[in-house]
Amino acid sequence: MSTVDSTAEVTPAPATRRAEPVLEMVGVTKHFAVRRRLRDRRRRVVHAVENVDLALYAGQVTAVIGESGSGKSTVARLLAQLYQPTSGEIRLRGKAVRAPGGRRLRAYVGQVQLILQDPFGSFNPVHTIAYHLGRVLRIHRPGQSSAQVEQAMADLLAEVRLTPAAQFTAKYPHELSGGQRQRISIARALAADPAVLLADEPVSMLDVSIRLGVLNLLARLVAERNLALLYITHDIASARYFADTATVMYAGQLVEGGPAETVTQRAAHPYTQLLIASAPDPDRDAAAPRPADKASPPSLIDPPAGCRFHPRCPFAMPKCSAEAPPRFDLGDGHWARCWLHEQAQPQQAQPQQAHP
Amino acid sequence: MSTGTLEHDAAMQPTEAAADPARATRFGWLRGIRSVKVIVGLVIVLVFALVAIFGPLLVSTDPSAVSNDILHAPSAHHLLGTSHNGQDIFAEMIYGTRVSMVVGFVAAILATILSLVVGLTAGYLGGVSDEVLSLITNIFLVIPGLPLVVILTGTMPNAGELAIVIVIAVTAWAWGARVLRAQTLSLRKRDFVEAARASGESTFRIIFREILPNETAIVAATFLSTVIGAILTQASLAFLGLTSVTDWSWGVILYWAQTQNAMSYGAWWWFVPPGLSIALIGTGLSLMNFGIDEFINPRLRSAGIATKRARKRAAGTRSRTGRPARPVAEPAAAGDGAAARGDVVLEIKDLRVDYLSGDSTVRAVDGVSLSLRRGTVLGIAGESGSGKSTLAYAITRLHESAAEIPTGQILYTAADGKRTDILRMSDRELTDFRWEELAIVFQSAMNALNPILKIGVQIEDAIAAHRPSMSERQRRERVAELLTMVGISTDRTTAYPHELSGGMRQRVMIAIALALNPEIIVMDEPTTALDVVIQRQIIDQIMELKDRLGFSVIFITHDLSMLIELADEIAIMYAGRIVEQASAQDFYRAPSHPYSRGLIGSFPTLSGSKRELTGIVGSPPDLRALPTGCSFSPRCPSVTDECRVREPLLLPLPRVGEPTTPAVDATSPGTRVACLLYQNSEPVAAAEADRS
Repeated sequence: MSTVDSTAEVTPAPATRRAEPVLEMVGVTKHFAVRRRLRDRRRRVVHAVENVDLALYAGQVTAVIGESGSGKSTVARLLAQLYQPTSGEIRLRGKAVRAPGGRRLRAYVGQVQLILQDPFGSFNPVHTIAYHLGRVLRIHRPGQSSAQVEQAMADLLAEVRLTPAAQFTAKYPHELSGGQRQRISIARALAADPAVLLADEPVSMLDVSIRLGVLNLLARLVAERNLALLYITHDIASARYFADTATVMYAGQLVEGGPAETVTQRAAHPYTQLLIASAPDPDRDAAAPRPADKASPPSLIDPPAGCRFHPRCPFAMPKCSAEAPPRFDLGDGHWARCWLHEQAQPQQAQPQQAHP
Repeated sequence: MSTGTLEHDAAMQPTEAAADPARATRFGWLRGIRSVKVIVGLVIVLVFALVAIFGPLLVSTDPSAVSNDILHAPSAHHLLGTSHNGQDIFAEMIYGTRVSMVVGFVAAILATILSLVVGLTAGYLGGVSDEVLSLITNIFLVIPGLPLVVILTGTMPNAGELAIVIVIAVTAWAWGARVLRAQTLSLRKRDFVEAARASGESTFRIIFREILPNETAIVAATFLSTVIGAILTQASLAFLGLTSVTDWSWGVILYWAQTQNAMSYGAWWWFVPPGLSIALIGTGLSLMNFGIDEFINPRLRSAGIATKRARKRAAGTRSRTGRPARPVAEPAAAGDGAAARGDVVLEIKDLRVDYLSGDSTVRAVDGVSLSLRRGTVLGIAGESGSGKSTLAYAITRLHESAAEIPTGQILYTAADGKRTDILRMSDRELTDFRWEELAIVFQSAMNALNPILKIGVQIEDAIAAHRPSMSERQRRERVAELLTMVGISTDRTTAYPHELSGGMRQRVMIAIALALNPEIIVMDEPTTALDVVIQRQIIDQIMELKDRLGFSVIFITHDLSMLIELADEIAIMYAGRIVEQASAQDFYRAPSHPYSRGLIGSFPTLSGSKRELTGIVGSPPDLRALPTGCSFSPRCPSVTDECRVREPLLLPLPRVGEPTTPAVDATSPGTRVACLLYQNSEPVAAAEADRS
């Protein structure tokens, strides 16, 4: 990860291998306070996200894969500034931003838009589609006439392939199908003309046959608008097809990352391997050994010391419960936080210069 | 993504349900006043309001004017008779209506504003402001309202109506505030509020444009009941003589009637009109309450429209599902062959399930024939609206009362060879049959555990209900055995459901299902709500138990890749019908139906090289508006004109190699497919079955 001088302009510095990240989270930790019980003096927190570094690049899809409770949705909400980090920084185009509300949040969400998982819940049942889209347009493109707003709405709906627009704008959310609503969610996000889309499980509640259409729509928008897209999912197979970079999250920490194909085909972290072995896959050799795992993720109020996966890990060594592993670089941008890869160089030790 | 071909065509045509959206929505709120009850209520309240506003202007008689017509019964001169002073009661009533209505509505408006401010602030801001405001609300809630009002008005007897209004408002707001706070608290966490925040809406707009409109029903209901309450309170106070007894209101009339013994003179005209008015306005306001929900909720509004349309359609034609009469009528050639093939434990024959809603009927399962062989897993896959869950409920006869099974048989063959039709069982037989022979695990089952009973007790209860002869010790042992079977350590017997994870709870449900050694377990999306790793653990557990105990499974899911892994036989449902049935391996290697191919082509794969994902265009079927001919025809890449008129039957795949069947395996015995591509007599030219 190349860190950027906060004054730097968008032009990529010559020394860096890749373009500057559009949106970045650097060493971000988020703790949620647990309601104290009577006579309980300790201040307890849920360690929802711990020391996460993540960078989103224009024109690229970055996947965060994890199970429920892994903190992946919190990552999206931190990036959307709906939560403020306990420590660490959110950087937009290299500049640290803290926008808890008001005008600063409004300006920020003009750049970074969130798409939620539930196409049924993310629309207010008492308002029409036109209201939902119109609000975002009026907030982020102030001073437009009604006719301009209407035209913009029609353009947006056409961009998510819902035509003719008039057949959708006058409707209430419940009158549309799940797939249509998720397209409108995307249109709503685009209304702000953002540089970054944060998609939190955008297709997991849709029927199998229409998931692909929505994912392809997102992929096209990434290409056409040069968007940076964060794709949060529990479905590691979809990340393989859809993302450029994949990261795997476990118990609030990123445990592995790299090019999506590498992460899914040559998983380095035992947790990623477990995820892959657990996922349904008709192509897999039926005789292949099944994971013997019987445990479940740890409590995030009192997470295990050292590597958080060590109580479940089939390869756990004494060191694993004592010391949290750093990132080890496995080459080609592939890395894992696992002591099994200690022979590889810790990534931090690598010079941040261009490779041939 | 490897393909960009599909994305555009999902540009779904809006469904007919939305035909004239503008009319349905813009004037939708008017539908709230359709019901007779609401109209009656509105008329009553309106009449009183008009009397209150214009009455005193039109009545020339001064209600306080004394005359010699003492205690006259109603006559043309005195419409409602006179009082002991010869005052005209009709005039008193007209003036009294104004006071009672003004007090009622103004007090209710004030109380509602107060409860809105407190409820919304406490609910939305949370934290300290919530705690302080909730405390105040709760204090006001426990203050007994009427005594307080009596004391307050007693201390300022000549304060007039305004004081009474304020006192009533102050004592009446707390209940509404509490309800609104709770509602706001839950709305604040809803996705659409988060979406509004994420799009940069201001807090003010979020509260007033996103949250408040969703609470209109509660606000309106609170308002109306406060109006009734305030009118009653005012009447009580006046009746007790706590207001100025010369300012006419309904209560004051009653006060005079009481103090002057109207009852003993038989002067009914004196106390009946005010009493009746109070009762009437109360009734009117309550009736209006009925219409509020529909008035406000757009979903309920259009639900009304849909029902009406369906009614019209039903009147016009009998074929309500939109399917034409089938051109080919021949019993699906399924059952008999299958039964002969082996040890069939459950056989479904030509099963239909209709949902009745209002006057319309939706056929959710349409002529399904399937058979389940002993010790195997039959997988049923489909999207929402395919009828797969309805099928599961029908097999277990747990379908809702709105569902009807017009035709079909579900034949169960017990281990001793006795065959019974589940659909013809009496309720008693059915109770024995369920759990003993056939057990069920549903997706939501893990939330069906009783939260206040230990899991051990709940399993024991299931056993005790069916095995009353078992001793308590035997039952305990059985519980321990079952828990070990599903991989829960026996020391968790005393755990409560909330102490277990979702996966653990689903294991408990499986333990309950296994408790009586059933022959068949029906599982409807048993792992869908669970994470991949937990899902894998549970599936492996089920398969291991199945091999050990020898039961058969009907496994219903939308997750085709999981199904291919675990099922022996797979049936694909679309719009209530089975479109393909085959062994899992044949199905995966060579799906025959274009829909099956689309499904297989929708799944990203994990191992092996990446393949092109083709997907399926369009959206899942709407059972209320199925196309004619093959239901899949609007989404089918190989559609021909004939598909749009002729409905394909589920027939065995022809053995002769056809250009469309890519692998020889597809023709292996057992594969059945409902597609005209394989059923036309002429060589299928259309069968450029497009697999890319």
